[in-house]
Amino acid sequence: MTLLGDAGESILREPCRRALIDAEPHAELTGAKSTADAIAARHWSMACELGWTSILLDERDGGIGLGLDELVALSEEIGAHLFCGPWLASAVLAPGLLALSRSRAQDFEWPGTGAAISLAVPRPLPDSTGATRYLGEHPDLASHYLLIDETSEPWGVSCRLLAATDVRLLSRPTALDPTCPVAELVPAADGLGERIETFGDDAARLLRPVHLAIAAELNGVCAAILERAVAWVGERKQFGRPVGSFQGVKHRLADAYANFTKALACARAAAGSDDPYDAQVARVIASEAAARAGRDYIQHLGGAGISWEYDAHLYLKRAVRLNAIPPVAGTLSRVNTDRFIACIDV
Amino acid sequence: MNRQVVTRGHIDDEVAAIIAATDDDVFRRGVRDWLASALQRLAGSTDWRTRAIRRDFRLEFETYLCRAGFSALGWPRRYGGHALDLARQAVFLEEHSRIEAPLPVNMIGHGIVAPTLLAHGSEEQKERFLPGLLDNGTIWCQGYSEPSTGSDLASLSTRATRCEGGYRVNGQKIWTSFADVAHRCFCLVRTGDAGSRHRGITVLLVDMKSPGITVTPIRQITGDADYCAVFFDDVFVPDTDRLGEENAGWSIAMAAAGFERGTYFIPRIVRLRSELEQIVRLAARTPRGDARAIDDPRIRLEIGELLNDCTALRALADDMLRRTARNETPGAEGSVVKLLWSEAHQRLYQLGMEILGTDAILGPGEECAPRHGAVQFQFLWTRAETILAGTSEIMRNIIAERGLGLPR
Repeated sequence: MTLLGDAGESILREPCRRALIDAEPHAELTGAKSTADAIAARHWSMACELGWTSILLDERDGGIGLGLDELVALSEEIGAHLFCGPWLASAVLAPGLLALSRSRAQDFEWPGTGAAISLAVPRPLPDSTGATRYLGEHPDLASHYLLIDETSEPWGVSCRLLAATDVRLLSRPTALDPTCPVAELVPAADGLGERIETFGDDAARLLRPVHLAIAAELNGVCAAILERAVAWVGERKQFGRPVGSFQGVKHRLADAYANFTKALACARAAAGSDDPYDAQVARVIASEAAARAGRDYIQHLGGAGISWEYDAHLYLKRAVRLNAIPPVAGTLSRVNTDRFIACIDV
Repeated sequence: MNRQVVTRGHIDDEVAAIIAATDDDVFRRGVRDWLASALQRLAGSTDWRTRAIRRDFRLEFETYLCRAGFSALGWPRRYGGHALDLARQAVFLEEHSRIEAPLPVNMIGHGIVAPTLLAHGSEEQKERFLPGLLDNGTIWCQGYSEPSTGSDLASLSTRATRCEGGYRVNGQKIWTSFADVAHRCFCLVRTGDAGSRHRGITVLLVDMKSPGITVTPIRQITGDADYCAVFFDDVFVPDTDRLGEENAGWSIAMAAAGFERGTYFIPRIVRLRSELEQIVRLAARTPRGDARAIDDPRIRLEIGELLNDCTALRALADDMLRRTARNETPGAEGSVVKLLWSEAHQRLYQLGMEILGTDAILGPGEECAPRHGAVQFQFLWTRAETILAGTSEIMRNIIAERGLGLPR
């Protein structure tokens, strides 16, 4: 069963799927020793070699210049097969920032398609001196960090790109998601890196591919969860019957499948929509579908679900990590609601 | 085979021009203006919105639309249809819902019987029954449920016994919507042995005026009586009113259910967004302490969730329409659409009731209530939507078994 469907209109899906299946890290990750850094290094060089990191980038910048449909197809496969690496900042957000900075004649030192640009998100509480500490992904791999700050009034996004040599790593905390190691970091000095800020509709347009990529990756995660859960409950027997024949199990999976179907249609439609805010909706819908399916998957597996050696936790943790990347579903939903209400003539 | 089977009578010149428009925006504006003036014309000095839930007005407006030419939008031309593509059909539905036009009464006829007849009817039957759908002269009801047959449809026991030239039907149907005004019934009957289940079911298109039929309206929790019990006492049905072969009714019923869960629910999904806009307007007008209900964070949060669902369900519906256009039979996806829509629709009116505050105490249709008690009406009516056309529990079984392949 492939819930993500066959190649369809995407030229990337089939070759990417094959490469990702060959590179699946499940066994290594559920083994005794965590080896995420080695897996990420392997995955990342594969992604660079196959040109995945430059699909959104303009041809004049050495990219392939493919559309959002291909981004969605590739991101779905990335989620389904637990790809490890700084995909989101390098391949999705950085090209958008480059285009935006150009349109404003603002400096943005584009590090090129080979760079490993890691996303770095702010922690909620500053340190004792009042400085913001960031959590940066894949510190072993990062050549750069893209530091994200959220602005509240007006709502928007603020980013800085720093070379890895321009940040100070404070610690290597344990990461929730074993496929994504993190470091705690701060900029090495004040005033490093050009700040690019954008608000309102412009922010929605800049972040559109990011939300689509996250939504699609979550949908990939959700598809993998459903396929694995269905296989498990079809085989596992209790009371002389497959547990999947009990309605308590069946209906929970039916709900997960309904939500997945909705999320998949929503993200794929948003990739072709005229309204950049549809991508925000797609992310909100996908975040709920994947997180719930991930929690349920553990329930379906029973004792195996709460054991490290089975893969259920890998998917739940990935969904939780993706859902924590700002702006989060709650913020997006609020922004969309305010906009909707303001548009209605009451 | 390409001869004209059903010829449509004269239609309104303005409608003909709108249908023929090559430009999408011209089509949309044409539909919008035409609907507005038609509603004004029919409602006279009263606001049509206050009459939109009344059955007589719903039927009057539906028939007016059909006779002017706004029916059979997607049917092939040789059956009198307009052969409009799905995008155009969706535009019509969007405009119909934007202006809050009353919902049709003959939904079974247009949404279920028409596509089923086009797919499974004989040419003679198409010739006989399609004109009554074009001009809405024939209202249809659907004879499925029986007192002992609900979700387990294959257990139905209304019996049709062979006789000279046709069948004699005996038994009882229940929860049959609009049976009291219907001219025909799309009826499932038992023609096989008592234990033959889905192998012994036949579809009859029963004339509701036949001697031996008694219709008793049943009062619903809304206070209205839109559905009925239908009693069959030795009712004669000619062979020519049998759809498909004898004992081959189950697959036709399943195809009809596919249409029902697929295209039948699309208009309702399109409508969801304008219904949500109405609820937002209500919340903006309803005081809550020193502020308004719309300023309540809890209410805003739920509006946000419903808004997300509107967008996502619309994407799902569009996907479904594309599949239908490619002649793929809606499978588990139809059940997904039905399940998600009916549950979102319930949540919408639960929210509406919360916004009403103490006015929620007033009954459906009450003139002194906001929107003439339409929110109370919908709150109660939407409880039916997770039950009719397959309960949510049956939908989940279908999704799990057919969508995911889980064991029965």
